[in-house]
Amino acid sequence: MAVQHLGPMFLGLALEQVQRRVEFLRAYADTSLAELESLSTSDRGVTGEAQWTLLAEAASATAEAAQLVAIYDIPEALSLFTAAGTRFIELGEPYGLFLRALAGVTDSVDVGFVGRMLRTSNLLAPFDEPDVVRLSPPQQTYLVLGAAGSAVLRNELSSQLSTLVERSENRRGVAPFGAVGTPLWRTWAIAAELERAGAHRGASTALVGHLVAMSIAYEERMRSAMVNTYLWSNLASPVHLADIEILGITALAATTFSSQTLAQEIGRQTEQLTGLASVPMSLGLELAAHLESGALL
Amino acid sequence: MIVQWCLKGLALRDDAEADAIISGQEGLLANWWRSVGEVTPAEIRQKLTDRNADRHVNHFSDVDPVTKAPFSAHSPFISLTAGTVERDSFTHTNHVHRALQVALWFGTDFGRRPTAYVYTCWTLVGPRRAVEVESVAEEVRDLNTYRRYSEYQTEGEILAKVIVPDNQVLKYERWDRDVATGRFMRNGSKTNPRFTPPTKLSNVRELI
Repeated sequence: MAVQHLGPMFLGLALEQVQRRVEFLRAYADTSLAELESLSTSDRGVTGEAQWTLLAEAASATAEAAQLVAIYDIPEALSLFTAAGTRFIELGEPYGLFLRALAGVTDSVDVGFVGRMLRTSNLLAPFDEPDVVRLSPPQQTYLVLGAAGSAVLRNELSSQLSTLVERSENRRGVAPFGAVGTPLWRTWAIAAELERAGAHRGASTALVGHLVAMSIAYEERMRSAMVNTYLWSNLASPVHLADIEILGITALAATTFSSQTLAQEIGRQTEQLTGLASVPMSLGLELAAHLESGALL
Repeated sequence: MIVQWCLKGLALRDDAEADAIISGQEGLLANWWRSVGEVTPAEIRQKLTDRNADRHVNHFSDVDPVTKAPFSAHSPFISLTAGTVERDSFTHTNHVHRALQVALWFGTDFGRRPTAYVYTCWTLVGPRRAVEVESVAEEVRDLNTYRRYSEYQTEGEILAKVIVPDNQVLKYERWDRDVATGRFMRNGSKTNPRFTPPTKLSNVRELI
């Protein structure tokens, strides 16, 4: 049961307060969407910026709620990740694809989205080429992780994806990515392992090695945040308790290699990790196991 | 100097208590001032230190070894929120934090109350860190390193010092959770008749 991750050896938080935060975030997302609707139907005129801000607020609040709900209700978390992902896609942000892929709901619409992005975003243009409009490196990374971690997208776009993971400049990128500041080269190495989908022995070993490194960074952030007990106990610390990147990559890897294979590899490599460091990986495994059990029904 | 509009979410008993902050010309006071009732310039100098700023941001409820009370009860700082909604930041962090969301979370006592009071005020933020200078506020992003997406995420938290004077408080709004929909509804606001707009500080001279 995922709720064990709230215990004193893990996050050390009260379930009631996590649920209050979730209710708040969902209410806030609904408030933003209602405001967006009222703006759209009014005669006052709507600026693109106002619409963008309200939709972005709803998307980010929903994603934040989703990672918290994953701690105690996996089916509901999947539903929220899907809703948040769809809103990010509406905003044109590939982060939405990553969220939809981890929720196991990618379909032909996502294939179309990724195809468009690959055609129009010059992802393989040299960094020093002038006048090239391209996605920001983090959004490129979410795009390639989401696509490589989804069987539907991997099959539909295999040649373009393999070109991207083999040739992108981001393979050598050092800029921080995600909530714990993982260097880009590491996330692109993960994407490459997902894209090859276990075609070589040791793919899951290498991938879990990267997840372990991210989990150590996660623990360091969490322990620093926990020092301010006032913010921490009230869920007001500016951190992601369930770390969407680690949780999501674990879930994508588990569905790619099978939950059992990945769980064994994680078990083998995480003996030295604390319970706290393992929280996002454990949640990702639980999420993938739930998707697998649903697929078997 | 930067003029920064900010919000402050407060969990108050009722509208009368909310009114008093404007009508009583109190302004937004630091907990320290409210707990001791009177502060002196010399005490302010002693309180505005890097160490206390770190305590406010990272050790807010730890017991102060001098006063034996939680630091929060004697903090000379006032946390305000300015939000972060820049598109560039969003592409890196996937998060928009309008100041209102943060103010409502604090103002509802972290989801425990159905009503929040949200004050709109302005303050001056210096271009560089200057904790000991009372008249300028600090941006919190430089004070710790663990925040999500720390490279890009400002979280929009501002530390004002000792007091936000009442004439820098434009208004307060009352926000309630709607019972039927669960959404937040703005149910009234009160504007401060003594408000001084920050354009007073503008160095743009108009043509005559």
